[in-house]
Amino acid sequence: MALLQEPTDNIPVETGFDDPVYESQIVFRKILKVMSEPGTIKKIKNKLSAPAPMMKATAAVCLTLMDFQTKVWLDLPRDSEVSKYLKFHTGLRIVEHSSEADFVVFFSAPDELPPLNLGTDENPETAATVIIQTQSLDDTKKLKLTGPGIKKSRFLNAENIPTSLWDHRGKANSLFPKGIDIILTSSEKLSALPRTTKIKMIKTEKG
Amino acid sequence: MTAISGEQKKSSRLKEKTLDGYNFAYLDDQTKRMIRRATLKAVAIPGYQVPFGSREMPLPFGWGTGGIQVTASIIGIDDTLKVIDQGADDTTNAVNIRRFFAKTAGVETTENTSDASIIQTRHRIPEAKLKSDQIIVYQVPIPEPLRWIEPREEETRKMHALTEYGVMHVGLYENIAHFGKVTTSYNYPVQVNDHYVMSPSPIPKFDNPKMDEMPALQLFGAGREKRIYAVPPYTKVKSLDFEDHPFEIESWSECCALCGSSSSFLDEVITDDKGSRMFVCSDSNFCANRRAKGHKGPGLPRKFEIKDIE
Ligand SMILES: [Zn+2]
Repeated sequence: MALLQEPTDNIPVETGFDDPVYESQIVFRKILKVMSEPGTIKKIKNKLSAPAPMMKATAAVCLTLMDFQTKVWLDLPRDSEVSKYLKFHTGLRIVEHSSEADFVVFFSAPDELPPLNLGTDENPETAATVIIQTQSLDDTKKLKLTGPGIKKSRFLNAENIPTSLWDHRGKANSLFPKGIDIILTSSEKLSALPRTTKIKMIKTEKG
Repeated sequence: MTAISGEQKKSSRLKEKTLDGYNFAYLDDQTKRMIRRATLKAVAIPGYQVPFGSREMPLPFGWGTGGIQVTASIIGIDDTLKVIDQGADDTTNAVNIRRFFAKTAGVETTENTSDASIIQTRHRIPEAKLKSDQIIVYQVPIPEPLRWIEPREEETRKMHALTEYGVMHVGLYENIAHFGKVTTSYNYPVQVNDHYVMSPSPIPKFDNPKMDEMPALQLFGAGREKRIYAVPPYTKVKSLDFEDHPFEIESWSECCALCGSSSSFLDEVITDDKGSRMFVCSDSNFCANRRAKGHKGPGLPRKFEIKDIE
């Protein structure tokens, strides 16, 4: 066991899915659910041990969607434990610049988004999917969501995401069909905000 | 003592119930991931056709290889699958696809619309209202609604990007000018969320209004042309029309001869060699459920036994 605690460069101690075929299907359906019904929250129940600062839901999403065909940018150094873990379990390609990536993962929410691939008018599906870890996800009335997948409106609260990031997202998505699709994670929770979702900030008394 | 979790139990059930030597639901995981990524983008851009790397399937094109690949990429051991073709669960195509997934994915199958978590369909949307958490997968032969007007892919892509649908409207309007009404009764184009014009697949236009604000997720797979598109739940789907010629669906003066329904899509059935005919529900499960509840139609022409059509 002592040997396992000192991983070589390539073999992380943290485990992926026990049964990738079965577990990735379950996780995918949760991602599909939150992407098609923006702002709903699903919980990942799989046993996973991701290296810090990667949360369980973030790891589950990455293991489910990424492989050698996907270009990924992380807001972490290339030699981080998370990079090694993801490379080992998925074979993904880590890229230098965020604008080249199919998936951009923020382990802490930035004030503004870096340069991202928004797709083109003719091929909007090539736009990046942005995964953002947050401190908490719940249905407190902070963000009012409307758009496809939402019956009238839905409320979501993603703690510690700066207002400036929502503004930046809004600007990118005003170029529809170009835009960015966001997956939010928080410990074992998962939600999503595709480019079609309109967000209205609910003002609280504190401002 | 090692406790076996529920997840592990299901996992071993999966291995027991599916055929040896097959991937779960036939496709390998690499292919599924690629289709899953395309499906998420399709959901994020409602009505837009996402290209994907279609795989060879053990069924010829025309059997719904696009729909099958979508279903194979989303289906899990806890799903209950219903497959219909022209509204019926018992046609060769529907039976074969159902068997395919029962064998390769070990899933439960059903004919009852409300019991299904995934419904794969060709040519109809069930009459029973679909619910939230259900997914309907359409088999699509020709995904591009503008193809009959514009054969060049680069051009149709531009038209979609800029919502330049004037030619589509002109085409439909010319139809009215010639025939006094739009004669397109299948595959009648819709506009999704006020942007993309989309082919609903060859369903009768009777079914188009069911797509609007549907609580279920709608996924569309075209195998030959390698396209996936989607309509998320509660999304506006509007059939194209004109101020002076509003969109209309088919209606019948008859009701279903078997169950008496006057709100369902009816198929005309020839009952003998003298040209006697009657109308029955195209959705066989809907009709059977109504009859089970005691609803009766005006009956059959003489000497015609119910078993002949069932
Ligand atoms: Zn009937």
